[in-house]
Amino acid sequence: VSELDNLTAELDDLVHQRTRLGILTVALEAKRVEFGYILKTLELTAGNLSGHLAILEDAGLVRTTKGYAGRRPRTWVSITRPGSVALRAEIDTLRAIVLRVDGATRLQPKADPRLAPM
Amino acid sequence: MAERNNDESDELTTSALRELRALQRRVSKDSHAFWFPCVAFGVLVLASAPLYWMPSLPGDCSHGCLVSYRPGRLGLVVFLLGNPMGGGPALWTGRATALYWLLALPVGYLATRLYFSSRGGVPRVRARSWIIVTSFFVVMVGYIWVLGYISMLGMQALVFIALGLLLLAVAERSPGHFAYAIGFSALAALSSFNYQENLFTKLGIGRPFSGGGLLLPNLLLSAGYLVIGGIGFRIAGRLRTSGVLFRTSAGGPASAAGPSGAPA
Repeated sequence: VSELDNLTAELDDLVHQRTRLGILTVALEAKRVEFGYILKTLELTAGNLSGHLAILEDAGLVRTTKGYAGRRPRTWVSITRPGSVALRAEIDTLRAIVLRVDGATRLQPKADPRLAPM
Repeated sequence: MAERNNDESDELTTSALRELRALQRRVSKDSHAFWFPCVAFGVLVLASAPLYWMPSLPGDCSHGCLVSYRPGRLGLVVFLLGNPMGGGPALWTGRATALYWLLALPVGYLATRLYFSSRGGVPRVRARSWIIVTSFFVVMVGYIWVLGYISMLGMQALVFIALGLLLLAVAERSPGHFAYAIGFSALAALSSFNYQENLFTKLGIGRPFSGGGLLLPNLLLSAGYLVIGGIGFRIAGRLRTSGVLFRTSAGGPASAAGPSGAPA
């Protein structure tokens, strides 16, 4: 359990938050992605997404650029190198947790269902 | 109690990984739509083949009709008004070919654009698609008015398609697609100035100067390159597990991901 606690402590709250994890994943895969695409894909509101992007940008994990597509204003989001590193580390930690828990479960003897507390 | 907590944590973490992987797959799928214009334009090239079939060779064209045509100013005006897309006036690929491509090229580009839009906003392309379409028309108009007098065996459309694919590959920032588009550009250039039938003849396939189907190898090679390449990209895209985050061993938690489930 203590090893699991150590792993859990490795999770970065900034990245671990569900929506931000999604934003970073989309940005990493797409390299450069429109604000509207993230909005639609993650089913967020514009305000919500803006808030999360501001947090990620302040932390230097993503970069946003504004421009125009034709006459329409657009915002593009791209992941930075620290953002990419942080996301990979997060995924690695999550996988390590799953492997650790799976391993621990396998080592434990199966409980007899008849003896389970009512 | 601790065991139950472990189980819950395991379930939550596995579920999060599964959702992230599904999300990544979805974005990856949306990002790569290069296959569509390849197949669409390949089919359009293939469909144009009957128009290039020559019932009989023009009587006085045994030597001179297919060489480059360099008209004076009047000849250029006649050419521009009479046959802007289907080759010089000395070629038999005439008005029907010109009309076909004048319709087919915009249809192909429009279909491509609609396909991109239908994919929920293709991240790498959508924002720049207008540049691609605009550039295409600028190049097309520029070509017709400036270079239109060069006879290209009626294959100018292949060059436009190649330009479109090159622009798309640049917009996608995909080296693989760019290399493919360069390959098609080379093929389009060759097909515009060279009878590909000669290649087959040298390889011992077919007879030289086979009359009506003289230009068909040019078209079929290009169409085959586009269609087969497009299908290849489609299959590769489907098989492709993004791998940036989830290069896991088979049977790992991430490999059990379903097709949907973006984090809310």
